[in-house]
Amino acid sequence: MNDIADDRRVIVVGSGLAGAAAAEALLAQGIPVTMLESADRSRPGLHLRLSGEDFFVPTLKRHDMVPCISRDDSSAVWQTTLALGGLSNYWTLQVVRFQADDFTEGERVDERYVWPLRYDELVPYYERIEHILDVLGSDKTVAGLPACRVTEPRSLPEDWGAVAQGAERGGQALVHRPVVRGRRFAASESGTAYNSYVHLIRRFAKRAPFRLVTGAHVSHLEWDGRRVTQAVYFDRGTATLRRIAGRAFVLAAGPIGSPRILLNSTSSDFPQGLGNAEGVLGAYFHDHPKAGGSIRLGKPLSRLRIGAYLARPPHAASPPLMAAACTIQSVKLARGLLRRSLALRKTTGINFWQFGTMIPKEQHRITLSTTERDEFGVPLPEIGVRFDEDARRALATARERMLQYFDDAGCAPTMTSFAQEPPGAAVHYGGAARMHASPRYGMLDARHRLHAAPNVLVVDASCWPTTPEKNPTLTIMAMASRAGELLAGDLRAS
Amino acid sequence: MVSPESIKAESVTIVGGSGFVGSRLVASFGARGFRVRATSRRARATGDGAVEWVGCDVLDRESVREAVRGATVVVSSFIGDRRTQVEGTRNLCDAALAEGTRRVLHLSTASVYGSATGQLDETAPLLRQGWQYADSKIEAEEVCADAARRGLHVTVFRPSVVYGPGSETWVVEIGNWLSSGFWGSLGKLGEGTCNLIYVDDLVAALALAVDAPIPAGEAFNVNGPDTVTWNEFFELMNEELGLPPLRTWSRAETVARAGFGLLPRAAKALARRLPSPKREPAPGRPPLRVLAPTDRRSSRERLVSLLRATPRLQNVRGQYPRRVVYLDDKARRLLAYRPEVAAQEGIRRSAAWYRAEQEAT
Repeated sequence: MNDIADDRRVIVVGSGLAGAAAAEALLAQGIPVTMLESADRSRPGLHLRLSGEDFFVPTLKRHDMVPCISRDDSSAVWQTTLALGGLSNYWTLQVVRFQADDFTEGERVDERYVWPLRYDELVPYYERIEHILDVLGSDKTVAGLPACRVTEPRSLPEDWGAVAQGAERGGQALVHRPVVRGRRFAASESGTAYNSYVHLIRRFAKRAPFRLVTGAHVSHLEWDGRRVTQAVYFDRGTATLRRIAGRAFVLAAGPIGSPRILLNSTSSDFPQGLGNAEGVLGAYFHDHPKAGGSIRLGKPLSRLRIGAYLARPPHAASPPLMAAACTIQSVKLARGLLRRSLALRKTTGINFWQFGTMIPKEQHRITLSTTERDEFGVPLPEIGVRFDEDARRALATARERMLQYFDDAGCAPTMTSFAQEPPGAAVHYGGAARMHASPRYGMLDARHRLHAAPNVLVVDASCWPTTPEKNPTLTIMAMASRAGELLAGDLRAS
Repeated sequence: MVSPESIKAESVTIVGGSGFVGSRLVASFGARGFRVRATSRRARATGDGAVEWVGCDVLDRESVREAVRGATVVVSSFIGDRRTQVEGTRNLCDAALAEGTRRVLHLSTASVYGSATGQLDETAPLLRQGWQYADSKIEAEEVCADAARRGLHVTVFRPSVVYGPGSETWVVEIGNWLSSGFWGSLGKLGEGTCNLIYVDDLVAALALAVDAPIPAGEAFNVNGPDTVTWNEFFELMNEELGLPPLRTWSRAETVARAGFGLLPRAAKALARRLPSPKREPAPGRPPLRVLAPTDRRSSRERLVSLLRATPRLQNVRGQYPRRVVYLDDKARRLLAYRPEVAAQEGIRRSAAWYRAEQEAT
């Protein structure tokens, strides 16, 4: 089975979106890949899509979670799922690009928030991923949101025009929500509409030279004084410790999993975790502040099947790293065919949820617990993050503006329910192994390589210096794809 | 730090000084060296040196003006129906503006956030959900915000579960439920957060706002030093009352008990509306009394306590399972507010008071 020579293959840790995108890019360049996934090959449920409508069959099995210990905030909920295909199981399918300004706005705050990467460098990879994912939505670049390369352009119903115009006058854009379209008819055993294993990895898994090892819970990487030579993992099936050698190691175990592996990879050179000479590993961890609620309109509007996206206000008009965007959805009365046959074209019920930005702080960090360990003896992650008032105020301002746009369009909105989620609830984590030109403020260089150990890459959202208010999925994949391609280039050159 | 002399110079009018929070405010502000004038609808003008009592109906503009006159700080801690709440607040703000009151402290409630969940700070929207108490408090807050725009220095406080010795809602009623022996732990439906604030901590927050350098029109969440779940609250209270451990109800049992409880409540509400030949209908709700200890109860009292010891359906649906934390970081930052009485300690004091009241009956 193990037919790939050790000295050629790249080890990718994690089968989520980031791991899948990186592996795809490596394989496209002819680099052999072995992917280690901690979860078993379980079938959590069934998902059916008929004629473009999702019919969910209830999930048969809950995903296993890695327990996380929350410091500072007892109501915080940190989630790291153990599932083949990763957290894409929970993904709302929203795909938005970051804007050029999102990569530079941190510079207005502090040197620590400077990205070593620009939007332009990422554009080809955005396009590549959009091609793979098959995107549906607005094809126009608007204020606050660059257009994706969409296969099926869509726009909002006409009677939403007044709201959209109001938003435009306010410097914001209201557009059709860009989402992954997927196939019209599909059945998958993932239990969700999109799963990176079912929909991505399986597509290229049959192609040699790819190998997937499930039930492989990576504990740490081994450093021989010059480079990382092996990944050490626990095999769930046999409950034994195993080692796997590789030429390069791509960590895509998620924003909590990847820092955890690095923190647990201690050696005499790096007693604080691999490559952690400056103590920056684990720090600057962050999540999107998240809120949601329902609105009742005084005047009904056309029902949105997929939803609308209210982009952030322009960067020039708002303080840096303080913004929020809203996703707006009609209340669903019934699913699929029933909804259509009822022909309920208009509705007064609107649900919204919103994500904001937070300024990552050094004291918000992941550490390893000194007392609690998982079943394999690997220390559990401990996380301490609190949202500050500025982050919440950005959400509140965005919410008031959204209500104002509905009000200006004569829709007389009343908010009827509201939830302000605690840290962790958005599951848009990042930052604990961030990229920065200087090793003082970041673990990685602009090509995702550890400053101190260049044959190790971190390609998931751990690498982000800051997270704009946008859904991170597409950018995670684009950056992982870029990282994979650059790594392939390096490997072929050497 | 403010010198003792300047504190002495402050004179405070507490509008609504006879209720649970009000009476605590009166005692505490008096003890802090303020000259206190307290009002209530039924008070007759008396002055026993420390506290000056005056009668005042908040719906009567003139009497509010009288009560506010000469005070540098006015605390509004009256309650009532929607009209009393809104009109009363308007009258109070107008009077304070006219009399040049330095600061107004307005007691609102975390109920203005409605059924919202999660971690709420003061930026969370105020939801009108058709609940008269909360909606009228929202309207009263709007009156305050309007007055702030007209130049009144008014500060709004949004506590949630204010408890302590003398609290009818959170100590007497729950104590009665528990001591009836017909109460249980609500299981899954009681896992929501109970944002307890001990009455003395609330009073301390208000006292801090008298001098804090804050802009007009600010609202503050105030909360205790720790949060507990409703089940923990019931269990702690039960333990401190020295009662046998609570049995955990299943979800179905909780809902069934709440449904059963609709009957006596409806009957009681109906009885209050019917004209009674014996007595004049008293304004507002009659005060809730502590139940006698079990061994001293008549069979009729035992039946009544059985009928009453049922959770309210709206609480089972909305309040007890709801996970919400009212963050008071802003009060900690701007008012240097530091709540001191932890849930366990506060509940211990409340239970001790309840038992003393029981002994007295």
